[in-house]
Amino acid sequence: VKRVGALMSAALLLGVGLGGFLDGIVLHQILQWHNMLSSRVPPTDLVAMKYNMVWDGLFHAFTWIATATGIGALWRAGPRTDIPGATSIFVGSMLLGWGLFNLVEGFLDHQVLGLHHVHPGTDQLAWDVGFLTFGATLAMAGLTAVVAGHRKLAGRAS
Amino acid sequence: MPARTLSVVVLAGAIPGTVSTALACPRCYTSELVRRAVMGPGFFWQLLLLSLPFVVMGSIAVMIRRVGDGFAARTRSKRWRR
Repeated sequence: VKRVGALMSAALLLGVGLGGFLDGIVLHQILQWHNMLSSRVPPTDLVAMKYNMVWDGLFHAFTWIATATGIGALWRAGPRTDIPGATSIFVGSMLLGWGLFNLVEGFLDHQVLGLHHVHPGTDQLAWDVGFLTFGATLAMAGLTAVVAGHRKLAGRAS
Repeated sequence: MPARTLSVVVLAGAIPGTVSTALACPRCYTSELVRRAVMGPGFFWQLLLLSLPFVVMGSIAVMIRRVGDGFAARTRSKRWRR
């Protein structure tokens, strides 16, 4: 009974985040029915469209924060105390996923397919390499945390 | 490295990385105009309006976290009495 409030609060935050993402992705971007400030600045030309795009991005930043907070709250509401090192394994695996996605997306979309570059222009290769390095750093940090978690787990088992 | 320390370190690294990437976006003409328009005098007011639903929902989440346990305990004790 003690953790019901924490569980509800975490789920509420996840609902805010996932609902916000669905609104932004489906209504703002795919269907293009509206944008964050489209009633104030109608997206009738390129500058107005980009202006709304920035505010859509800020909206998504808030939904990202709500989702990340919700995940943290959910983990705190129901910690796996039966698995030693569970937090290390969980956080590490998330970082590993983030880093690996950056590496795969950066390699395929930026280098192989050339769909876009991180910062197009004269220094685009440096920016692309920086993006890949950031991804590799995240993946390495994640892997280190996962290994540390598994060591704790192995230590408890032996 | 403990997971909590690791997440703080990664977040501390990720935020400046993301912000610097955003600030260094290509300096084409429309981007200059957009940046000037977004960062105009109404920026903080619009940011406040945008964040308002999130602040309201965040407050409700905090309230539920505090009230939820008590509510669940009361419901449980009522069931026991029956």
